[in-house]
Amino acid sequence: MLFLIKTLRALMRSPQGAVGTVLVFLLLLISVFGPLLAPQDPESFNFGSRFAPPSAEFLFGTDWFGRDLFSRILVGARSTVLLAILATFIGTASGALIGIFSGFVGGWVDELIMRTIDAIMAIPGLLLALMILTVLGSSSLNAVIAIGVAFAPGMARISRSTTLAVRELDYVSAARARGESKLWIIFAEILPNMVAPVIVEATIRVAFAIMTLATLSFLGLGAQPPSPEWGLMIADAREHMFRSPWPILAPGISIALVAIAFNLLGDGLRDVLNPHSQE
Amino acid sequence: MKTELNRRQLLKLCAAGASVALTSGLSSISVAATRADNTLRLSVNITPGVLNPMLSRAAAEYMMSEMLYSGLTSLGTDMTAQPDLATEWSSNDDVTQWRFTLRQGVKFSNGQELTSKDVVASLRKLLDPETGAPGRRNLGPIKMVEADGDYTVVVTTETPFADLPVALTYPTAKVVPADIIATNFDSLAQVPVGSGPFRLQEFRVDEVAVLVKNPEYFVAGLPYLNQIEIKTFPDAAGSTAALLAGEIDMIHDVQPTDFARIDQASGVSGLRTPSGRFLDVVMDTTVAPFDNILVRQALSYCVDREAMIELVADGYGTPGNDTPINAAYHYYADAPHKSYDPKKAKTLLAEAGYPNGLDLELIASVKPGYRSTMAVVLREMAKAGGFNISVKTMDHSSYLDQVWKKGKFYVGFYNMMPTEGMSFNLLFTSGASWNETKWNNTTFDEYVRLADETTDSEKRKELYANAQSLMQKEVPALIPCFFDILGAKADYVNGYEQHPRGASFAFHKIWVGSNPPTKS
Repeated sequence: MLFLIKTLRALMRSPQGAVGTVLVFLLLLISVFGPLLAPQDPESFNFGSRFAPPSAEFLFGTDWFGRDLFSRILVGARSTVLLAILATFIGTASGALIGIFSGFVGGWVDELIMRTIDAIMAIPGLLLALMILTVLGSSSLNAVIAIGVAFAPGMARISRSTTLAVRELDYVSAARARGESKLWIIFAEILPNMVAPVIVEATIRVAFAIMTLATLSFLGLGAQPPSPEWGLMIADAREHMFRSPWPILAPGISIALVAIAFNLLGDGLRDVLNPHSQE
Repeated sequence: MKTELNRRQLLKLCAAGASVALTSGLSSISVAATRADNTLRLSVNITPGVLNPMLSRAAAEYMMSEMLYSGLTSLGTDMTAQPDLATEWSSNDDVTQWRFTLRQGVKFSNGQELTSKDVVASLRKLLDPETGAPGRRNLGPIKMVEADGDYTVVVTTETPFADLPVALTYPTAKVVPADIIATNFDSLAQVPVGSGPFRLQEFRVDEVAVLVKNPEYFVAGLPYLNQIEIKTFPDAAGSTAALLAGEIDMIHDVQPTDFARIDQASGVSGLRTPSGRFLDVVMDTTVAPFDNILVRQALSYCVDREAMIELVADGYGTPGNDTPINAAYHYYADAPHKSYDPKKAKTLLAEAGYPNGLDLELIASVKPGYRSTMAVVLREMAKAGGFNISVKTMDHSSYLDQVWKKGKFYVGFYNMMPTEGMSFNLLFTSGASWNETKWNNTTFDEYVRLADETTDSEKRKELYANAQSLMQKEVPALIPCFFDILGAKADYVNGYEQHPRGASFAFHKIWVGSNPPTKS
């Protein structure tokens, strides 16, 4: 707890950290409470006001069915942002465990795991996600799994390299000399000392996850219409772009803002958590 | 890098907007340059995939086979049979036997002469169930095809069939050399051998097909064009932008959402023809819950048909009455449209045993775009009637493989047919080629069969009216709206007449004007 407060305080001292933290905090609030805040049903049609520009009644305007874009953005935040965080969590957790294990055990096991991961990393992340979705079928949850899997190899690499550095430190040798079990060493000695870089990496990856998720929905492989997922909203709005820019601008700007927010937070966290800059 | 697609696309689009303004001067130069070589550049939204004319099944494929091959008859824009390989035809008194007289001196692209034996072999191949030709049943109840000399073909039908010359305009009914059918039919998938107005020069799937003028075409002076390039633009916005920038001369299929914008632009004009092209919601009537007629009727009361046209077809359409026939057809039975009545739907649904509503999954291919639009609109409209429909979209090739003709609840998309009987026999009779609904209603079959057999126009009218009202009552499929055929061309493209059928094109009659376009 104390650590958290200290980190937060340090974060607020740097401008990008402060902006990132505030934006991400707001975003999480919207993700959780968005559906309660939405003034209208995000799926109901308003025949009289198709393609309405922003006004007091429709803050962000309406789309081609006359659906309120503000409500759709609010409701869609949950599926967009929370799912992206979930995808990152899956990728980070599995990747970190694989990386630590591989780095700690070393030898031919390490070789085997790392070469396999190299092979997987040869496939670009989005392609890998597409491949997984083709096998699993398209749905939001499958998209989350696909992104998680696509993120894992990169995470495994980072955690492995950190593990390799930590492994040689004296306190690990001491634990070994005490005769501690390998599992204990991994979880009690190594893991706490590599959390910082992993958290920084994960925060920045959330931004990627949001964009990948939006891309997959854009391609018709993630969320299904009429879900107000932001990427899907952009994809659907494309053909109406010339009649009204609002249906494409509202989710587009939202995605950009979220990506920026997580990037700023990630940068801020890197400065704060980096032991070398913590004087 | 692909992960940034959304932001980048936005940027690109902005940049494209700016560059269109900057380069419009340049584009008119390039357009002017193409006039000399007399080439037409046309965009289609679904790539032609099947080259074998007997197996083609989509507009772009029909287009290719119409240019590369010829049939006995071709379809006029008034839905009557026009001479193609056959110059004249006549039947016996009880319309069970037809004699077609062929043109003489017609040559295939491999140099062989086209004679009655090629026509006979082609028709027999089409009728052979093993060929798997789409629309086989649509050629009519043909019993026998025989040659009488080198230039006469005699077709005998099981039952009287007055529509035979029109039925033979079906896009798959093309004539190929008899010896290729006998020895190497599969080669047509790669190497076309036909007698059409054009010949294939280059074909790259998903990209471009280049066809050049057939100098030996049997109609003297045609085609006017030296070359046609059929380019695939999967993205409607890209296709529109290309037309406005002068990179293509014609769009075969314009999305309703783009039409007004294209029509207002200078130098290009929109083409619009009322048609019997429709989107339907197919229900497999042999499986629950659609085996219950009350469920189907309930759903049909959940559609606000006028609003559907506005939301799905952007106003470029006509309301449907759950039959594939509309005012574009000759024997359309004008009946009052079903009203939007969600209360009645709820009552019917409760009666059917679903008092708490019904959860359904509706599958829609992503092409054309309005399939999923209709699914979403139906979902919203049907909520009030107690239906909870979730929409699942699917890319077009997976849809064709996994869902079309197999799924129990999906959005289908069909072109207008030349006659009422052909439309029914393609989709809704028990023996229909694409019997998706498996409705198999014997009374309906009988109406259609009797109408096919008679030449008496009054009797036909009555029978087709019965067939339509039966469909309206039993709702094997929901047909909420019809779409006008929408296309676009540059003003210097002449001689193109849009066909309401959506599967005939007559590109050999197009010419490109000498006046280079003036773009603002």
